[in-house]
Amino acid sequence: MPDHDLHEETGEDERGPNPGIGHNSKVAPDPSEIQSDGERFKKNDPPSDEPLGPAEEKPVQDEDQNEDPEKPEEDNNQPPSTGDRDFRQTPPDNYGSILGELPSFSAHGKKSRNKPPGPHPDAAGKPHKIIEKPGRDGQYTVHWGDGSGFQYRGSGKPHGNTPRPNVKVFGSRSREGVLHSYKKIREPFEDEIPKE
Amino acid sequence: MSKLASSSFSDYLKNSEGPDLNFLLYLKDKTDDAELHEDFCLKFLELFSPTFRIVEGHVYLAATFDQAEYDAKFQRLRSFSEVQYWLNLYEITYIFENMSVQNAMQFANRLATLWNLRIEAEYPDALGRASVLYDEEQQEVFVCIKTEEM
Repeated sequence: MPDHDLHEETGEDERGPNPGIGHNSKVAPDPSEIQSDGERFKKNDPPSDEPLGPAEEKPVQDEDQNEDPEKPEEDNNQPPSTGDRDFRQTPPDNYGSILGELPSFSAHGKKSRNKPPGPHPDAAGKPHKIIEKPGRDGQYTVHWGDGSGFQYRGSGKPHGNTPRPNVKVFGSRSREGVLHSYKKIREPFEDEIPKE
Repeated sequence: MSKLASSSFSDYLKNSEGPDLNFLLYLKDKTDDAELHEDFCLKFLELFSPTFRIVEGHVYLAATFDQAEYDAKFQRLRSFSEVQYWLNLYEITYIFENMSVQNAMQFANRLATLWNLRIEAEYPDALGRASVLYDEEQQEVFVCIKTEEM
């Protein structure tokens, strides 16, 4: 398999949309405010869910604001930067750390064929992760809170001749901030694969 | 669009009158009912007979190829075959979400055959041919242009 860390050379990659965590994001999770299954996340506590990135990384908002701590808060309400493409933006360097800090829920209800589970009602519209099957070979879905997200699909049970693991990205935001039901399968980034 | 999806071909044959009922009349009636824009029909034509583009000797669909996405993916994967694989995954069960897996497989097989006929005719030396992929767990059917090694 290829070296998935090469994207660090440029700080850019072709991940799917993640408008909840960009520098201009308005829904970047503040771990101190997110509550999940009765457990409160605190900024300086390690995530209770297994982190997908280095454990010593700082929470997302600290990282986001490092470059410009005086950045006005209203900047966060701007649509995510999309560059020259509608569905691409540069993710933050601590993408994996953010995934680890997201509140997690167990999958509930029956999902329809070919569709990731919808947002969990207890997340109240905030970014969160739904663990469908734990572990590297399992499956989880991340909702960024605005209709976009992705589903990681590990090896799991026999699945035919498609490559695993893979990631199904859903939702995309145009330059005008309009969400489309864009979906695409891509290879997973290293920090999206559970360590297990 | 709902009218188009609401009547199967067998229902059409059962409920219509006339000695020369066939799939062409079914298409005509349904497209008339749904008041489809002519672009919709032309895009179907593009699906069945697309224009291909050759990049580094590998086949891509011209209409969906994006140079920036290609560059970013190649920087990570460092393999022409892998980049081709991931950029050329087209999920039939996503494009036609209401289609059964069985029909999606049939559709994908015919589509792959058509694509390969055109690739062979226009770019016989280019790398990559259309194949059908099926994810049993997810119930997803794909057509993918890829090399044999993938």
